[in-house]
Amino acid sequence: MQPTLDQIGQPGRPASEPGDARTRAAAVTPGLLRRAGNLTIRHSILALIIVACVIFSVLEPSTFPTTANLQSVALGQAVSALLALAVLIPVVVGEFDLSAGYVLGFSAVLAAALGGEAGLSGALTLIVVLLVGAAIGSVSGILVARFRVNSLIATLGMGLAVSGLSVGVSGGQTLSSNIPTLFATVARTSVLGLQTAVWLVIGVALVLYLLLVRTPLGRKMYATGGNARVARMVGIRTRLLKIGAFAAAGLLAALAGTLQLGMSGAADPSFGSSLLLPAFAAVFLGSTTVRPGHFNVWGTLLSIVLLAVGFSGLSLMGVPFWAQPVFDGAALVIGVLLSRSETRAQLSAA
Amino acid sequence: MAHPASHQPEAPAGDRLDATGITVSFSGVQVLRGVRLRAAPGEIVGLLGANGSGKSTMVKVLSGVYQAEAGSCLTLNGEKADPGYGPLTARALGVRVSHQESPLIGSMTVADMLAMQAGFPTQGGFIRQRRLMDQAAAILRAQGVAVAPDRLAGSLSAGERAMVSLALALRDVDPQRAILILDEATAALSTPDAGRFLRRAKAAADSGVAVIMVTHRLAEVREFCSRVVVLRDGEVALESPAAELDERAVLRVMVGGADRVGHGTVSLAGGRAASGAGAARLEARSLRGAAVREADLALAAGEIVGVTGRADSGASDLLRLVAGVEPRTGGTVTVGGAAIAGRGPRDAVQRGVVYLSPDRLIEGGVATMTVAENLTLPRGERYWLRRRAEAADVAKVIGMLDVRPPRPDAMFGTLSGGNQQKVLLGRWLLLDPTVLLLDDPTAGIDPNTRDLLFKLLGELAAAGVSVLIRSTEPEQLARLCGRVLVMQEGRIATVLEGEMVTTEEIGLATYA
Repeated sequence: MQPTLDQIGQPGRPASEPGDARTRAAAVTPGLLRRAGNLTIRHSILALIIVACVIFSVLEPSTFPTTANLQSVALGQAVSALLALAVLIPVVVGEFDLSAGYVLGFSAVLAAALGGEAGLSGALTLIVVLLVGAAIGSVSGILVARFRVNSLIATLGMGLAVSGLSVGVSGGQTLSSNIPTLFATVARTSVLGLQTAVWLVIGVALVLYLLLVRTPLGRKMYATGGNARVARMVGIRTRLLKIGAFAAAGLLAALAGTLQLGMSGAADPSFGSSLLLPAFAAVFLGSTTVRPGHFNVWGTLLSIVLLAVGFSGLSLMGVPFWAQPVFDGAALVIGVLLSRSETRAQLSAA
Repeated sequence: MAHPASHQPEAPAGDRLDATGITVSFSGVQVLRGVRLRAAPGEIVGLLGANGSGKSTMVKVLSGVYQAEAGSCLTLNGEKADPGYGPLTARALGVRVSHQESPLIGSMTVADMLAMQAGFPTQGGFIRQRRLMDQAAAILRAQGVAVAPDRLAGSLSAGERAMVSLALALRDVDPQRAILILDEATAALSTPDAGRFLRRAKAAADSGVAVIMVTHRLAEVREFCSRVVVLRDGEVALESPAAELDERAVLRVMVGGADRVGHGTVSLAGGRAASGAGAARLEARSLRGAAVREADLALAAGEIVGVTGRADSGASDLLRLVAGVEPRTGGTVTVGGAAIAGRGPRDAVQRGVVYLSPDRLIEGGVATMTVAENLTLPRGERYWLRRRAEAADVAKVIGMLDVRPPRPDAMFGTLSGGNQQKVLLGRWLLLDPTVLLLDDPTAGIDPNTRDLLFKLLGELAAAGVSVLIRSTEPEQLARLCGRVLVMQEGRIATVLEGEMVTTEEIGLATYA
């Protein structure tokens, strides 16, 4: 694998240099980026986060390196991060779930409607919403695995349908009355300086990591994504795994929706779909780091952090808010390109 | 392969095609060694040979896909092909090829397919649909093809596809210049369809086209060809007028020159083949699938049985049906008396019946996972939280099979074909299989790995594992197997046992 080390060292770099930051970053620390990249072959994105933090701390010493700013960055990304972990699961088995963003929005609305207007208890509402999310994912999974509908088409259809249900359940209004306090408690209790929403994401990430990397189940999921035909031929139940992956994605998307409700105290029926592309951006960008060439949990989370830190710094420096989707979009394309070249590099290494 | 210069004036009118001294090597191995092939206008020349004899390579040289080495000489229509001879020059010089698989796009109409080559009639940039249909109908009529131009290519029968593809090939070429190559064009056709197709080719020949016909069917050769050329190991082993053809002699030439003819009886498989000593470990009754019409099979413990047949015989499908890789449409499979449900490969794998595909990257291993991950894929649970046991087993397999590089963390996709095969075999051996189904396991593998594999198979059989191995090389089966099943048209046509298991008899039964 020696010949590929240099190639692996490079991937994260361009992603940290969007727009204005490129010239400034290069001017301030010309050699640091490259050296950091070479030193941290498998941790290029982590290195970039550190570099970005250093740069922004130097440029904006009064606003960027403050506890308040870092907490707000972390909290602001909790929902996005959970959604990214949700879409990561089907991606590992080789499928796309485009409905996850809509499921997130629908879950928030459903929770607000059940807990608020219908008056269900907070705990019951939470359980029902999570089950509904898992059920929606299962239907997508069955369409894909059992009826062989292309996952992009199946989940696009599912997402559109769910977005309609969101409007139907909410009557097109933002729901904010009588939201059970459980949701706010789950999302906004402060523990060890971080809010529970952030801890929840870390916890989910840890479980998902152990599942994907440390259990036979995870190994089988990667095998299914790597080559479903081979996986089937060695006796792996690929259909079941795919259905399970979509169900888990639905469940996590629903959890993200309830988190959103708890954090904002209101459910907007149009919320959620705009988070989908950044979530995929993080998944693909994440596949270039930690376990290069593999979609992985920590790479995904680090990518979320990188995008958040990068944009937080840029906005403190006066970049307008509309630049964030541009930034995320560039990251998605670059992420896909890099994850492809990663795989190619590994395959051609021999 | 000395051809005296005095041979050349034999055809005073001038051969349409005259290829002499055609030599081709791939990575140092000569696959064609000074082959001479000529065809006169209006002649149909049969080109025969077993798998790997160089027929396909010869076709590709003629059609410009491969370049022959220095010293080779290719003359078409009296013009010597220059060194830059490629597919386009071949076409310009009148070479047309009709393949077994016609390159038609299923979702388009026959008229559209024809227009892709002949050009679309347009007015102001828009296609004139009526004119398009008329144009296609005219071409089809001229080529004697009874297919409506508005049919979708995907709806054509195999016979119709072949006819359309022949019409496409001959559409725009002057019969007085054309060299038509039929590359096993009838292999997938029923006998009546093949007859219709070849009569059309014969009509083309009668109008002056020189035809070279690659086929495995000797009956076709006798009926349609004037002359046959038999290749073996990249050389012309026999050239003779078709009228004087002795079928058995030709087959003998095809499969190897040994005079040794096996003694004993060839049992034509009417009933089930007698299994070797001991009770049957694996038993399949009335097995049916897409390409297998009906087959019965019994394997004893420790027995190595070979399966072979031509490409369309269903030999590979037999293994895949037993393994559950292809869905079976009827019949039962039992291992040690217990039935395998046949819903998929999982049912077979769980009973210790494992299948090694010849397509290592598509059906073998996961290219993006490591050697160790691929090795332990089928039964990961066994190693959960037992990393040391996993590492030990992986190291054992790598050592035993001499996987190179001997690194558990090497990506599977980066290994050579031979080493990939070792990993895939090792993966199954870790499951302690009872029945190994090996589908052309030596395809694309170096001789050393092949010998290692064969030695290992002997040891496994001695330990009681039943092996069913498909190979396209009769000598391999003769070396390994106590019994060889030869399939034809989806059935086990011949069972060779004991002294009958020789390279020659296997070849004879395969190509008869």
